[in-house]
Formats: sequence, C-alpha cells, structure tokens
Amino acid sequence: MDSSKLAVKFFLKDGSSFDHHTLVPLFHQWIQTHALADHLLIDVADYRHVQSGPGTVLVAHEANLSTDAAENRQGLLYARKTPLEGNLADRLRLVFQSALQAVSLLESAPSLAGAVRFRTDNPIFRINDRLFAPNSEDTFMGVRPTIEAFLTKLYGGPVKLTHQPNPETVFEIRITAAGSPTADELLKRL
Amino acid sequence: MWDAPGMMRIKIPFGGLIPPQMNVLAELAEEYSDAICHITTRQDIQLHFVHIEDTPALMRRLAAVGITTREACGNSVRNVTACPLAGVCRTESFDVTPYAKACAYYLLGHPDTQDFGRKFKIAFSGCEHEACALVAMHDLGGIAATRIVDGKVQRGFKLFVGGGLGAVPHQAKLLMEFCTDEELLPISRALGRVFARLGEKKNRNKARLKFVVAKLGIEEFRKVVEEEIRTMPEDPSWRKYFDQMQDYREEPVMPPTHLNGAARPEGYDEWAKTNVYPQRQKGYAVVTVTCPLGDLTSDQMRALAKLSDRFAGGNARLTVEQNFVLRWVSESDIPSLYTHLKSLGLGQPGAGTIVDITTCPGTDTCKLGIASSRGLAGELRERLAAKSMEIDQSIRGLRIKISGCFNSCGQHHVADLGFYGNSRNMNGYTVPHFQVILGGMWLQNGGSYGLTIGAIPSKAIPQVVTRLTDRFVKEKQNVETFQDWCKRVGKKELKAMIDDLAAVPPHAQDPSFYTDWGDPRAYTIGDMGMGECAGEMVSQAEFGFRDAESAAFEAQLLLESGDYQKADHKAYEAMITAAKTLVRIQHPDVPNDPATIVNEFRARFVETKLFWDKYHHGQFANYLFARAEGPDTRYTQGTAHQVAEEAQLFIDAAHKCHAKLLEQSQNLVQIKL
Repeated sequence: MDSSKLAVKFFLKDGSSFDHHTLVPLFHQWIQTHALADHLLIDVADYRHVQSGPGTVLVAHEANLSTDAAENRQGLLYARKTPLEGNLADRLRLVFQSALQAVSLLESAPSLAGAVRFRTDNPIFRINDRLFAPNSEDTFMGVRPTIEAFLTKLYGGPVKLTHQPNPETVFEIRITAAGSPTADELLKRL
Repeated sequence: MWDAPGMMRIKIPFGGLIPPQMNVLAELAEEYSDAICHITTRQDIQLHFVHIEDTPALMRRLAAVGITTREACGNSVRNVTACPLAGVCRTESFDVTPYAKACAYYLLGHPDTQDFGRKFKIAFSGCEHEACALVAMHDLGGIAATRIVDGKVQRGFKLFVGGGLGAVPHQAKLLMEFCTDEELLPISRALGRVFARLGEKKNRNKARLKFVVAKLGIEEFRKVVEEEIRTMPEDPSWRKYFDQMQDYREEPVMPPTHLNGAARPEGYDEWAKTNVYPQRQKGYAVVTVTCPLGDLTSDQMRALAKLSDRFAGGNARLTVEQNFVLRWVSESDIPSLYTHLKSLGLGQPGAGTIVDITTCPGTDTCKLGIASSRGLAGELRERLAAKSMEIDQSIRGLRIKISGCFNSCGQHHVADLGFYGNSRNMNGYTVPHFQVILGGMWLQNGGSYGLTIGAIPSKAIPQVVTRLTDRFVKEKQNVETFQDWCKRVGKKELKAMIDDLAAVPPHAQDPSFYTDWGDPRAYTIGDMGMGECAGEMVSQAEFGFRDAESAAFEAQLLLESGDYQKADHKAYEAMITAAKTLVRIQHPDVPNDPATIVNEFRARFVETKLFWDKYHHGQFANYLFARAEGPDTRYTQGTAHQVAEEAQLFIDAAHKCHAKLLEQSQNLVQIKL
C-alpha cells in the first residue's frame, strides 16, 4: 500500500467544543509562529456554514487540519496530503505524531482556556486514497498487521480495529483502545 | 519555501450533473481538496487547496465520467451556462440545454478559439424576461425564440454580443434578431474568429469582446461578423454536434403525481414557498437545494447523488446563484425529499431570496480578492436568516451579490444590493471597504446594471443593508420595485442615506473596523498577487487605473442621465486619478491636490516623454492639461461628452505608459542579470 494520504481523527470529549471565534485567530497565530513541527502552515478556511463539514480548516502544505464534524461528531482531523518517507509503519508514526501534536497544542492553548479536550481511546484512521487503498476487505487485510502492531505499541496494549468495507467511502478503521492517555503521553511513546 | 496550493476549476456545461459525476466530484474533493465542492457563479465546481502533483490523477478521474477541465480558465471559451430550468420552465420558448451542450463541445479545443487575448463567456436562456442565464452580461448570449416559416415552427435565438461585467460593465448588444438553430454553431465560430483577430492581445484590461464591440459600434461589428461568416473556411464538424442535439433526453424516474393535501413535515411549507418550482410538465417540480455560500461537503454531494437517482432520475443542475437543483421530482415525493435534505443540513428555505447571497471566493482563496466577500456574505446570511420570518414581503425577493474585488465574479452589478471589495487608507491603516452598488436588475437576463453609490467600511455593510431595505419598505409606492425606487430616489439621496456609515472610528476606539469579516488579523492587502479568477498580476497602479475607469464609467452614466456638469467633473476626476496613479510610481506621497498632480505629471511624464505616443505624441496628455485649466462652463451634452471620451482615451494612454514602464524595468532587470 503505497500511499501517504493517511488521516487520523481524534474526537472531542463530551462537554468539550470548538469555539470558532477563538479558533480562527489561534490558527492564524500558529501560521505566524510555525507552531506545528515540519509543517508549512498556509491559510485558514472557514466552513462553519456547512453542516457536518470540515468546520475551520488550517491548511498546510503537507496536510489539512480541520475541526471535522462529519456524522455530527466533532473532532480534530489531520489529513496528510504530501508524500512521506518510509514504509507504512514509518508513515503511521509521522501522521499520528503530527495529529497528536496538534491535539496537544489545542488542549494547552491559553486562548481556548481548557475548553477543548480530546479523548484518545476511539480515533478513526483513514487512507484517503481510493486509487491505492479502496475500502475493501483486501486492503484491510493488507494493512492490518502493521496498523495493529503500531497501535498496540502506542497504546501499550491490544486495540480493537473495526472495518466496514464500502466501495463508496474512503478506507477507514475505527480504533478502540482500553484507555485514553493524554496526547502528550502518547507523543512520548512515538 | 512557499508552495501555495491551487484551485481546480471544473467546467460543467449548462451546470448539468449526473450521479456518477457527482460521486467522483465528492471523492476528489475528499482526497485532493478540503472535502468541499464549491459551486461558482458560472455553474462550475471549484476545488480549493489542490496540489499540482495531484492534478493528473484528478483530471483522469474526471475524464472517466465525461468531465474535462480544459478551458475552464485562461484565454478561452469558458463554461457555457444555461438556465437551470431549461426544458421544464413554464415560460421558455424551448429547451436550450442541447444547444448549450453542443456549443460547449463544438468550441472546446476548436482551432478558432485558441488565440484569444482574454476569456469568452457564453450563456443561453429560454426566456427573455426572467433572469435565466444572464445573457446581457455575456460575450455571446442566446435567448430562445421561434418563428413560423411555411407553416412550420422554426427554432432560433435572439443573439447578443459584447456584454460583460468587470470594472466597466457593458450591456450586451443585439447582434441578430433571429439566428436559426442551424446557424448557431457556425456563427459562434465566426465570432470566435473575429474576437481572435480583432480582440486586444497585449492589454488584458481591454481584451474582452465588449471592447471590440464598443470600439467598432454594433453596426460595424455586425458587418464584420457577416463578412466572416461568408468568407471563413468550411468546417463541417459543427453538423455532428448539431445532429447529436436531437438525442438529448431527460426522463423522470417516477410517474407524475400531486400532493393532494398529503401530510407535510415541519418546516416544509415555508421551504416549499421558495425552493419548489412546479414544472411545465404537470405533476413534476424542480427542487432547489440551497447551498450556503455555494459550498457542499463531499458527504452531502454523495447523498445528493443518491437523492438525484432516487427522486429526479439523475437530472440535476448547478445554478449561477450557487445552488443545486433536482428536476423531474414527482410532486408527492417532495415532502420525503425535503426530509432527506433536512437531515443533510440542506433543507434551508430562502432560495432566490435576500438570504440566498451570491459571492465569489474573495480573499479566502483568490489572491485578487481585496476584501472578504465570503466573510461578509456569511455574516449577512446569518443575520438575515435569524430574522427571516420578520422580513417584509417586498424585500424578501431582493438579491444580494458580493465580489471580493472589481472583477465582478460575484456578479454584483446585477444585484439589487451589490458590493465589491476595495480598501482605503485611513488613520494610518488600511481599512477593508466595500463599494455599494444599488438597483441592478437580475431579471430580464441581467437587464441593467446598478449605480455605484460609494465605498463603506466592510464592518458597516450590514447596517447599509438594514438601512436601505428599511427605507425601501417605508417609502415604496404601490408595486414599485427596488430598482424603480433607487431610480426615483436618485443616487444623491441614496448616498446621503449611508454617508455617515463611511466614517471609520479611530483604531483605539474600535479596532474591529481594521479587520475583515472572519479574519481577526490586522487587515492588509500585502498578500495579493496572481488571481484565481482573472489570472493576472494586479499591482497597486492597476488598482488606481481601475478607480479611474470606474470614475470614467460614472461620468458616462451622468452623461446619459443628462447631468452634464457632474459628468464633466467626474470625467476630470477620472483623468486626475489616472495621472496620480502614474505619478505615484515615482512619487508615492504625491498630495491629492489636482493642481499638484497635474504639475507633477507634466514634469515627470510629459516633459520626459515617458507619456508619449509614437503617432499621437502628447495629444492625450493635452486632454488633461486643457481640462485642468478649467471646465467649459456651458456644460452641454456635447462638451460633457467630449470630456468623457477624452477621459477614457487618457486612461488608455496611461495604461499604455504604465505597460511601457514595466517593460523598461524588466529589461533593466535582465541587463543587471
């Protein structure tokens, strides 16, 4: 599976929500301060007017970060766009690392005053690339060992992977972990 | 490193989409863009933040479902648009869809359309009196018409040419009262050939067909086209496209039915008032899906593809008001369709009303954008939607259209309330503004353009809308339209109504005026450059020239209205603005005083022969110098007309001088290298 278009979404904790009025200036501040390592942050796009859409998008050369509300479940979606070095395991590490860095930055942002909190026990992982990774059982069987090994190490124990083949949608795995470590704890393990 | 991702414009002829195409668009937005399909004001789809490395795969996947992006941008025949109701409209002469389709594909990549100096836009309407495809603002527009010949109905088009918006909008002129449908494609080709031959190639600001038509006059232009039709080489390939028209069919998926008092879900009645149009074919309706700011998520697009299949036989269209329509919906299915749309967040009422605001991408993604048209549109939409139930019936149907700059991609000239972005330097800061344009006509194919009233700070525009609509509600007489009210009240009074809103409080008092909608950063125009819409580099000087053009245009309006003194003064203002624009290149802090500008211009540009024409020498500069000595106080139609014409010639010469300066500076750079 030779794709770098990997994506991961961490959901907000219950009672937590994005306030876009404070998020937009924060993302602009990130652009000015180059807040996200190894990313050239470029622009902020506002799609709040669209229901269950990407919300506020921080556009980087390498990836999009969006306050995604698909299926009416808010979270932070990190979607890689540009190629990554290495094999799938290497790429998984880099994508989770970037996503978790963003999660950590949001949780610790003074302007958000702790209003944004994420749970890490049920992320969604996607391969946003129908040409290389159709959402089929074959794809799942092909990537499962690598993903399982990576996540078991990351979460310090077995995780449950749920996959539903569907030719219409991008390849997606719903991950269930036993606990919900903080983003910073997970980052230390990467 | 700087790598700005780009925009991919995908042309959708006549806005027609079938479900497999919608699914692919959804996939591409998800995989290569930001999961948003943006509907444009010309029935295209745009994907933003696309990486150039992804475009080959993207284009291949579009091609697999019969979509090309070729000639969606650049100096070419752009997307051919058509009325979204074509074929089902109750007042049309006939269905223009197959003609729009044939025209789009016949001219696509045609050798006679490959040497344009600028874009060429075509639109087809089924009726003359509705808005339809806004023929009056297109380079070539056809309005369906029929006549009886030998007892048989003959189809054809009333053909218009030379319309266009931009800083200086032109209403299209009637080229032919009736062109038969068989003549349509050859005449379109002939027009392409004439445009390629006579259209400006160097100065992009003068390179649209409207300038050719204005320069020659419609009579002479008509003769040129007729001569071209007679003499151009044979190209029998048009026949293939014409013959294919006969095969065009749309079929419903369900038999015709009627609601007959069936139960309706909550919110349905209000929604149906604005979003359902009963078709000519009894028992069927067109359902408009309101797409806020023209945006649909990938998930919504996929879901719409399913709904289109299930309820509309796969017959869907995009509209120039950035919405989406499903046609051939059996009437008894509409409540169920509404429920589905509502669950997708697409059940908002208000299609084609004051809430349904049209906007170009503006500063969000277009580097030509000066002010945030989408930010303003979002704000206005939110405010108007919140009080939609209280909105007076007389203003419910008004159109608000917003462009991020003078290039008019948001079609502000044909709106009741139009706005385009500009900026002003105030209190040592750059402040985002919108120029207010009132009383444009949406109906009659964009029948007339609005009046420029003045620039207002971006943050005060919601108050402009409230104040003007409130006054209209109070003052309108009987069935008076907003256009008629604007005309009756007059530009001066309209300006007076909002003049106080032009004031910008000091930064310390209200810093919000120094930011734009949706962007809390200090406002700047420093990141402008290559535009996604017009595809040109715009310098500060060009903004100055645009202001001069706008003033010259207003002088023409004043001339037409018989206000010769004001026309004279406005024309002089246009010349002074153009002269100042040139002087500022060498002397950025030149004061606004006209006498000083004229003196500086003389010393820096005329005496140095920088402003010098090879054939006309200093003639154009003399127009300015003559007027600077004082107006001809007779203020007759003739004197005002002369100054207005001279102003335009002076601006043209100023553009030319500027181009020469740019060329010289580029040569200097090359020598240094």
